[in-house]
Amino acid sequence: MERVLRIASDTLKSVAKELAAEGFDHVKSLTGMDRLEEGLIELVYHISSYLNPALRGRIVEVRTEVDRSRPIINSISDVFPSCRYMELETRDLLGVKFEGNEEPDPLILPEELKNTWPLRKDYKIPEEGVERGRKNLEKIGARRR
Amino acid sequence: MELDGDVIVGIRPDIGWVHRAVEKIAETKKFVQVIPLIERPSIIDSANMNVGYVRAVEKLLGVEVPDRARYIRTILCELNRIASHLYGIGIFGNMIGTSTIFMWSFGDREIIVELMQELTGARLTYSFFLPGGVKGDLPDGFEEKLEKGLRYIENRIPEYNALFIENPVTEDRLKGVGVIDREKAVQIGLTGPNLRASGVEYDARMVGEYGAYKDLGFKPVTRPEGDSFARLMVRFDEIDGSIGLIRKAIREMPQGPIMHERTKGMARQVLMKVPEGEAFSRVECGRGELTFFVVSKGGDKPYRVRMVTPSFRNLIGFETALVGHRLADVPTVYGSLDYFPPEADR
Amino acid sequence: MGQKKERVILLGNLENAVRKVGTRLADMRPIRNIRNWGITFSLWPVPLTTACCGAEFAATMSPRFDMERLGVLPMASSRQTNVLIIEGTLTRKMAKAVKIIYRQMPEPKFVIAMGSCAADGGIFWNSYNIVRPKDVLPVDVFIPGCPPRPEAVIRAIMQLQDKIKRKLKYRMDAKERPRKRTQRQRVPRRV
Repeated sequence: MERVLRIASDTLKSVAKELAAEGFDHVKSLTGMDRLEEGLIELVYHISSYLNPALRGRIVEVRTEVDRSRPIINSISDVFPSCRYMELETRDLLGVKFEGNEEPDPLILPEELKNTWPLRKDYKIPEEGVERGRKNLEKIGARRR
Repeated sequence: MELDGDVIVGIRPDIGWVHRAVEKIAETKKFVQVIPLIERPSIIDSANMNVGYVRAVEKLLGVEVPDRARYIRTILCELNRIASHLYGIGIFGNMIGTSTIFMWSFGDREIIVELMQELTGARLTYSFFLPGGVKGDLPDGFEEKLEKGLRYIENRIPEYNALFIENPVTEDRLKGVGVIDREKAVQIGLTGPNLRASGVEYDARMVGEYGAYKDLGFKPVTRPEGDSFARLMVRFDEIDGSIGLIRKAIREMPQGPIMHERTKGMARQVLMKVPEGEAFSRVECGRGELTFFVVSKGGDKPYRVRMVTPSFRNLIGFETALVGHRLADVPTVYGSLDYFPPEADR
Repeated sequence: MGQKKERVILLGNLENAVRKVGTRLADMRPIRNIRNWGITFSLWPVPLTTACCGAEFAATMSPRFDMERLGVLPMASSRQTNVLIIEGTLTRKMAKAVKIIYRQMPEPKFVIAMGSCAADGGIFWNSYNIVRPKDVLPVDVFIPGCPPRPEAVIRAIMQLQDKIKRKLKYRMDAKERPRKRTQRQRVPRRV
């Protein structure tokens, strides 16, 4: 990655405006990572350009962190409209609130899983292994040998 | 959709009907086991998704793919692109109402699927690329069959032309419908043939970090109009381009190993521990640009796998293209944007 | 001479009696065979593409593995269909829609579960967002595979045809149709 910017979460909007002035025009992906031990949620934006031939093919990585207990950050969907749905998805799955990009209903989760934030590390889903097999045997009533 | 009489005023997409949580499950599986998982969202295009993930893992491992493997990857990816475009054209024809085109394109697609089955052994989900190379070499007699199949597809394209493209009904329904102009397309972050139909010359194969596109000399095709007809024509042009690329790759294929030494053998793949780091990779699927962001913390399972699929990025295109049109234009724009729901929801 | 005498003939509940006679007649072997033969060669599925197996179902409709020669013709509204083919993974949102569509179908109706995701979760078995179709609807035929080959889909339709020919009885009342109790391990709370 050629250019990585680590910024504080309250300067996100001004950095986005500077990048837009330089010639970057769309967001390729927005990743949210849950760091349970450090109590942070890290957001990684990958921003690139379609029209500017010097910047075409280059990706800028913008990294910022929000507190896990109070994950609120400014939305940059008025500077880069391409990240609107990505922000809504991150709000569904991780619980990060983007101010300026609010919708009442969840985007990809059904109604009953609203506000459960499945992608966080403390939301456990079953894994493969011997333990689960043993529990299944108990459930259908096989005798323990 | 908010309608004013017959005219569409507002659109709110309601997705999530096929959300299978691929990103969450990928954190519970080993690096090699994630490969079938990320292929399933876009099952008709699965070789390209495979390449994206495998490129990211190779960047983390620090291995470089041998030349012959790169050319084989290019051949399979381009064959898959032809099959995916034929599927898109078929579904598009079905939505407009011509089920003839549906039958034709699915019948032609079977030729390509047979070729890919000859090479990899499976019809739709290949899992043929592993970090470090490809699983197997080209079988004997494959080049002649490939040439026969490509010649058949080439001879069929004029028939599509005569029946579907130069049809006054098609032209009336498609020309001028769902126009997305150049600046708007860039702003909302469209990708793939939809972007190229609006006049922006960008293709992730140009950037050339995967496959053999830099050696083969690749140039994207564009059209300036930005309406549904242009999007359809870009897909037909891309089929022609892919046929040319495959022929060139077969002619210029180098000899050599197909797998890097460090990752040879299934035992090494399964017990592989990837060093700590993060990697970003992007490939061009049939529908657009797919990006992967893989984070590893030094174990045998990834910490975070993030994939942003082209259909998810094209979702905004609906709002831009449909507002102001009538309700009967919805199938036209839907089919021309080639939206594939399982890919968008992952 | 004109005196009309009124006579009362006791028949019991007329509607019930006719119903029972009709059911009896329709279940007698010659009529039952013809009726079941008719049903087996006109199984119209609902065009419900759930997930990735839909690509193989569409390929089964293609000219190479023609499904229409068996009488299977999709592209109809859900009120004119017999068969519901659940192709692929069933998520929670989709399960609600599938239930509504199932209730819209007229009797006699059948369900085919296609793919390993429809059987027991498949490769997405530990996802937080999927349900098992056998907990939602009574399934007649399962097709394994990921995705199953089109030949497997045709074989499943032929198996369904066999099952109909052997077992289908005529019932005027939908609730009385016997269904095999599937083993329910885990019923979702509210789908």
